[in-house]
Amino acid sequence: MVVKVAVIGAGIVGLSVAKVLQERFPNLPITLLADKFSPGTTSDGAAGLWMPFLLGDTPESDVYAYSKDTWDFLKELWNSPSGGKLGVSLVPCLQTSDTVSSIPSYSDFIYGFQVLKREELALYKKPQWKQGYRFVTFTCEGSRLMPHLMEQFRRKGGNVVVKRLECFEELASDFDVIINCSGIGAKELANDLSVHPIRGHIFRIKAPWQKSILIDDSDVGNYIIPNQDSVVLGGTHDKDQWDTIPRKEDAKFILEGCTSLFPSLEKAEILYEWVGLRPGRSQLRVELEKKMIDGKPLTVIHNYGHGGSGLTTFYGCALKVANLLEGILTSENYLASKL
Amino acid sequence: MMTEPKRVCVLGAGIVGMTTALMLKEKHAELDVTVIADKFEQDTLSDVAAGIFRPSTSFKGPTPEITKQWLVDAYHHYKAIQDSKEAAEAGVQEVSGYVLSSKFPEVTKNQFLEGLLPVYRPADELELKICPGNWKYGAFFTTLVIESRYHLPWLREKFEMLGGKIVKKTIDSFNDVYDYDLVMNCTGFGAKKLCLDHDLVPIRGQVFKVKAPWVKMFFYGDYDTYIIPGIDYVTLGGCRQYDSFKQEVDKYDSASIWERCVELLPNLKSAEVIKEVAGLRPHRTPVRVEREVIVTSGGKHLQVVHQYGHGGYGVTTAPGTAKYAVKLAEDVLGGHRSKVHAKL
Repeated sequence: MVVKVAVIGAGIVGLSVAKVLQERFPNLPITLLADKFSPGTTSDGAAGLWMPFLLGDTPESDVYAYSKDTWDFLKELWNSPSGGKLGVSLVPCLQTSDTVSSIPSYSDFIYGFQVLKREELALYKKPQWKQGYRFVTFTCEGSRLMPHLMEQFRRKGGNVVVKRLECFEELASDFDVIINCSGIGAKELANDLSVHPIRGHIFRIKAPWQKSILIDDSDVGNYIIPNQDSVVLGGTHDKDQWDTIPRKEDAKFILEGCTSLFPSLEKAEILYEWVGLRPGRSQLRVELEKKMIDGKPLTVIHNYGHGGSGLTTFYGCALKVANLLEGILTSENYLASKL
Repeated sequence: MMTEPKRVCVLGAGIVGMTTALMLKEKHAELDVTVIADKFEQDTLSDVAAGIFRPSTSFKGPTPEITKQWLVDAYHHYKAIQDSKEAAEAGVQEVSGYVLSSKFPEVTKNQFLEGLLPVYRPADELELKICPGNWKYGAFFTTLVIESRYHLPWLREKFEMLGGKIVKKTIDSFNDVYDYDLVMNCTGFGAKKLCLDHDLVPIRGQVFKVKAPWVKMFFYGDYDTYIIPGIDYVTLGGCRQYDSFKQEVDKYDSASIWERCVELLPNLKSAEVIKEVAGLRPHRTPVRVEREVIVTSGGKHLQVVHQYGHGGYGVTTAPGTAKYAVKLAEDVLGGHRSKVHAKL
C-alpha cells in the first residue's frame, strides 16, 4: 500500500513542506492542493524579513528552533550561486521600540547583534524610542522563492491541483496523510477559532538607494524593508479584521511616518499599495492529529498559525513536519518497505 | 565705477572640480565661475569609482590635522545630503558592510573612520563565517556611497541654476586661461602634464559594473577584492597597479577580479554584467591643495589654487579638500599674497 500525501496550501509554508518531503521521501507521491498560487498568496506580498514577529504565545524554544533552522537554510541559499535570484538578501537592520523588553534569544546567532547605548539612541531624536537593537539579518522574498520551489516540485514528479477545500473529508478517500498548510484558511478548514487575521497594510515604492531596514516596533510604529526591486513601507497589525481595502488614515500614517524617518523616500515613486491578512493564531500549530473518516484512518499534520513569521519559520516547520511524517510512516500501520 | 565681478575658472569636471565649482558659487554668488574641462560625467574617472566613503589609512594631506579635517568635513557634507530629501537625486546612500582578511589584522582598523562613522566595530565570530573563506579578521561599518553617475549631474544642475557656466575645451597650458582672476586646478590626472608634476602617479584600477539587486551591503576581501552596491549597479573590483598607464580593460584583470569576487560572494554568479571599465587613479603623496602664482608666457601673474592628486579617494575627500581650497581662493580674491611663484 503506497501512502498518498496531500499538502494543502501553496504559500511559502505549503511549498517548503512539499520540497522537504520530496527530498526526505523521494518515492512518496505528493499532491499539492490550493486555491491560491504565487503571485497571489500572502507570502508574495510580504517583505520577507527574517524576524520572529506576531507569534502569540508560541513557546520561545519552538520559535527559536523553527527560526534558527530557517536562518540556516537562508544562509545556505545566500551562499549559493542563485541565492539572489531565489530572493535572499543580507541586510543591516535597526530595530527600535517605545517599550523595553528582554533581549531576544535569537540574538545569539543573528549577525552582529548590539543593544544601542542611550547616547546612540538619542542621536535619532525620537524621544519615544526607549530601546534600540542593531543587527544584520536576511530577507527572503516569497515571490522569488516560491516559483522556484513550485518548479522543483513539479520537476520531481509532484502533482498540483487547483481546488478550494471546504473540509478534510473531501480528501479522505484519495489520501492517507494531509499536511494542512492552509494559513488563514485553517480557521474554516480545521474549525479553529483561535485563528485570526492580523491585517497588514503596506506600500511598495521604488527606492533602490535604501539599503537598510528600520523597524519601529512601538505599538504604533513604521517599518522600512528594502527588497530587490522595491522597498516596503509599513505598517499595521490589526487583529481580527478581515477587509483588505486600504484605509486612508493608515496610508497617511505609513507614508508620513516612513518619510519622516528617511526624508529621501518622499521622492520615491509609489508602485502599489496592498493589504494582506497575516495568518495569526494564539500560537503556531505544528502537530499531528489522527482522524477516522467513514472507518478509514486519516492523518492530518497541521502546520499553520505562522502570524507575521511565515518567512522566518517556514523551513524549520517543514523539517518538523517531515519528522512527524517519518514517525508515522515507520509505525506499525505503514511498512517502511512500501515507500 | 562698477567693479567687474571676479572671474574664476575651475579646470576639471570630475568630482573635485564640480564640488569645488558649486561650493564657490554657493558661497560667493557674486563670482563669475566657469568650469572648463574636456571630459564630463560618464567620461570622467569619478564615474568609474564605486564612490564609497573609505579613505586608505595611508591617505595623506599636508599635515595629519589637515588630512583629518578634510575627512571630517567631507563626511559631514555628504551625510547632510543623505539625511535630506535630495539624497536620491544626489546619489548619496548609506551602506553598511564587512571588511575581511584571512591574514592582516591591520586591514580592519582605520584611524579616519573610527570615531567618525556612526558604526565601526569588529566583526564577530559568526560574521567572519558569513562569506566562504578562512576569514580571521573583520570589521563591520556603516558609511556612505556617493555615486558620481548621479552626483555629477546633480552638482551640474545646481551649479548652472546659480549662473555657473560650463565649457568643453582641452587646456594644454595655464597660458590658455591667463585672463582669469583665479584658476582652480582640479584636473586630476591631467595635472601630471599640465603642471609637469612627476609626483603624480597613475594607479590603475579596473571594475565590473553588474546588476545584482540582492546585494545591499559591501564586502571587502584580501588583495583588493571588493563588492560595493550602488543605486542601480554593484561595483566589483579591483586592482591597484602602480605607474600603469593602461586605460583599456585588461582581460587577465577581468578574470582575476571576477574569480575573487565570486569566491567572496557566490551569489554573484547570477549577476548580469553591465560593463567593465578601467581608470587611472591620480595618486600623489601628499595630495596637493595649495596656492601658486604662475607667470604666463605673456608675463601675467596668474593666481592658481591646485587641488589634485586624490588618488583613489577623490569621491571620499572632495568636499573636504574643496572647502580648504575655497578658503585659499578667498585669500587670493581678498588680496592676500602667496609665497609660491612659478614661471611658465
